Amino acid sequence: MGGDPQALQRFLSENVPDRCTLRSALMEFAALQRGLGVERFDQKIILVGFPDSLVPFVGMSGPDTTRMGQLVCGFRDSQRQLWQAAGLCVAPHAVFLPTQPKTAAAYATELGWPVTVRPARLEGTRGITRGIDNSKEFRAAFRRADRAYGDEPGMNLVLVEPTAAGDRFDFYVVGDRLVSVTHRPTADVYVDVTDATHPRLAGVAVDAVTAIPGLAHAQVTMVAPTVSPADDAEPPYILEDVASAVTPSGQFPTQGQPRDVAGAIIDHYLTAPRWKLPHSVAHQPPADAGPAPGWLVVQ
Amino acid sequence: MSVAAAAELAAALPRLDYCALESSWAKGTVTIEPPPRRDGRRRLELGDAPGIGGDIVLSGAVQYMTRYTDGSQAPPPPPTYAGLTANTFDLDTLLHFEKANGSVDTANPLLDRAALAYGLNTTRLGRGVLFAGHPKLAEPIGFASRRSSWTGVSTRAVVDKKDLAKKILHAAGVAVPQGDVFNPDQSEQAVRYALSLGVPVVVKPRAGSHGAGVTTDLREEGDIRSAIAALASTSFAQRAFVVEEYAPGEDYRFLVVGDRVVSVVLRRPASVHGDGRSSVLELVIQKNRHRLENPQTHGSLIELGQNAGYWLDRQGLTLDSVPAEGSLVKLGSAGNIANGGDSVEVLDETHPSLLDLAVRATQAIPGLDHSGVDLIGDHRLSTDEHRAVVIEVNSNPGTDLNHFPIFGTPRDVSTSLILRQCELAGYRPSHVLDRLSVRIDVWGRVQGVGYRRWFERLANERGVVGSIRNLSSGQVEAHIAGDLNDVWLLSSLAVTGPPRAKPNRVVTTHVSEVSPIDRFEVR
Repeated sequence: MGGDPQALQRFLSENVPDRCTLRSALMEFAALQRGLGVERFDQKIILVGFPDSLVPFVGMSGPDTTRMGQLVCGFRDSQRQLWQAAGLCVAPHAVFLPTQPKTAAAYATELGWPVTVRPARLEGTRGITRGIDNSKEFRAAFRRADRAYGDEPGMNLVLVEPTAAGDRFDFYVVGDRLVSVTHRPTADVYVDVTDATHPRLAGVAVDAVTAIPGLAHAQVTMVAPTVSPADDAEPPYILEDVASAVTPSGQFPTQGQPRDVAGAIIDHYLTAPRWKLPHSVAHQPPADAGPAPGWLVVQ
Repeated sequence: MSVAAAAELAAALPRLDYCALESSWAKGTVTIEPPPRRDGRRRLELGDAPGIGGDIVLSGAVQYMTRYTDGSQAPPPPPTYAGLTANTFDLDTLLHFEKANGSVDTANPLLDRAALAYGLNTTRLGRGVLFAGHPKLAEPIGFASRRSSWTGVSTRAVVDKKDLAKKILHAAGVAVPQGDVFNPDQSEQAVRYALSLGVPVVVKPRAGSHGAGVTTDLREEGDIRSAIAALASTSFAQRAFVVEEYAPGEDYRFLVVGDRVVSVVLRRPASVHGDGRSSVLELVIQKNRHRLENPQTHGSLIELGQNAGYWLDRQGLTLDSVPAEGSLVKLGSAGNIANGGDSVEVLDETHPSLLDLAVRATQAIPGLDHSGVDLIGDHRLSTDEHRAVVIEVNSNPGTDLNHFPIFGTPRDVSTSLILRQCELAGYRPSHVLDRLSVRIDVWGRVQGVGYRRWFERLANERGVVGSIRNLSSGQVEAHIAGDLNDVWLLSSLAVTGPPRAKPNRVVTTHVSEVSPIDRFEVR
């Protein structure tokens, strides 16, 4: 759990939920453990005093979690396109408007049952139905995915794809480092399998986060028969999701060793913060700039 | 005027042929003087004067009236500022991006244009999300509105809370005005704090934008109390507010990209200049007619609301006053374009020390590579010669005031933003394409909704050649070629489509050639 597990438990019980949220408390504790100054601004926002800068965090997200990266976490169709472009494995899929349930059902039949239906542009687990076996179930799942958007602005697109065979594994990646892998055989069970994970899958997880622009750390979910194949064969997998605003499942497994994900994030900001990179790259204004678009130059 | 009142009015006036009711977004208040009387059942009573018993006072809706005025008199001369004549823009093209509320939203389309002009392929997911790619880029670049893949999530939380941003700026040695935050139930403490500062103060919402709820230059206790009380009648009621030192000077927006300032816009509060003949109301309508001609101000005409009334009072004027020729009539304090202000681009005249200050302010906040820095001071003076302070930093800065200032040189800041993202992704394109040949793939509800005919009409209007066809997969595919601005317009509008269409993804890819090359055809 990083540092003193009992001290963390004490810190959490004293501060969550009245003073702050769980994720924010994890970051505060990890920063304090490393001797960094922390100023709490509200239940979610802290300022951490790194040696040469004050860095804000909202929950576990600092400046290296960008708006674009966060947005793609909620755009599942875009995630899949970016992963495909990076040569990673995703399931065949298509997106549909809420007014296209019949077209979507026809696509599901063409894919073959079972299929998974999920909101295409919504982060989190709301509205996801896996293992749909027939048209009747499909129609209900399609409606659930649409309703999951609630009052969210934008188009309620629904994504349909085959339900991949295998179990779900959460990989938490910070920079180019895999911090934790959690096996989730059922919804309530989280088993730490970090040390048993095949290096190839560790590499896939890192590549999956790298493929998303503006995301230095995130939790990638993939479906695979196992993460510890007995032989040296390339382990099969399907990438399913990426999330930036979640409590890492590896931080609190129900079985196995807890992993100090929050600490790894603070270490990332201590050693290789992405947000500082632009400071060393000068901006060159365009050399051949013409008049601004739409400007009718009066001679 | 309520629907019920309008119905009663129609019944009382048999010769009334039609009356116009406010639309959902038009919220001007039209009153009658003297006010109409109502009986015990709240029905309108006949007035003493002819007609409806009083004069309709339309000034509260002047920003809507202006769109429909059609005066026979010669148009007034265009506004000028310090010898500069107002800029003219290709409004016909830009109005393709007009929204229902009258504003012209060019931010994402102009980023799309810049990317296409430099040979990048673009993907648009709705109107506000753009990705651009090129084989030589280490990663795709992207914008959600004007936030890029270098704009931090926590950064937004910081800049949205003005006191937190000031704390970080102050720690980095950037000059900021002294101030504090108060909850709505701390009015008395806020007033005492304001008076303790011993200088004029500003009252503003802690998390406001576009100058909403901002009152400046408050010198008397009564004015401070009024400003705090006024917040209670806005959307910021029950929210924390800031009281801070009022920094005298002009109000500027510095657009910082990386380590450079690419545009500086002086923002003047809403005002009119007297001509010795016209009333304030007439001057406002004249000025609003010119504001309609500018893409940036098309949706933000001068309003004659409570704030304008306050400023007219301070100057001893009414809407019927006829200001002397050349005299300036202030109609607001917050120099914000959305509140009827004027914009003057002054980058070339801005002192380097102020440019440096704006860059330092941006780099002080982790997770900002480009930003809009709001600064109070005098752009011609160095920081040694006067006190210049940063009052806000914006992570999602509007670019329309840089592209379409009323006065001064328009700056193509979208190109700077795109090139900056390319620099950070390891590839700097150098050559601007004057003509484009592209393939446009459109996903979503785009078949059976008149999409191809709509596209064809636009293509013919803009002199673009090529073709468009439906694909069996449900998408639409077009191949087009033409001048940069024409192809860009079609590419950017493709994500909107005709009324019945609902595109959800548009990918524009550069190609070597299209056919046919002498006309546009639907296949």
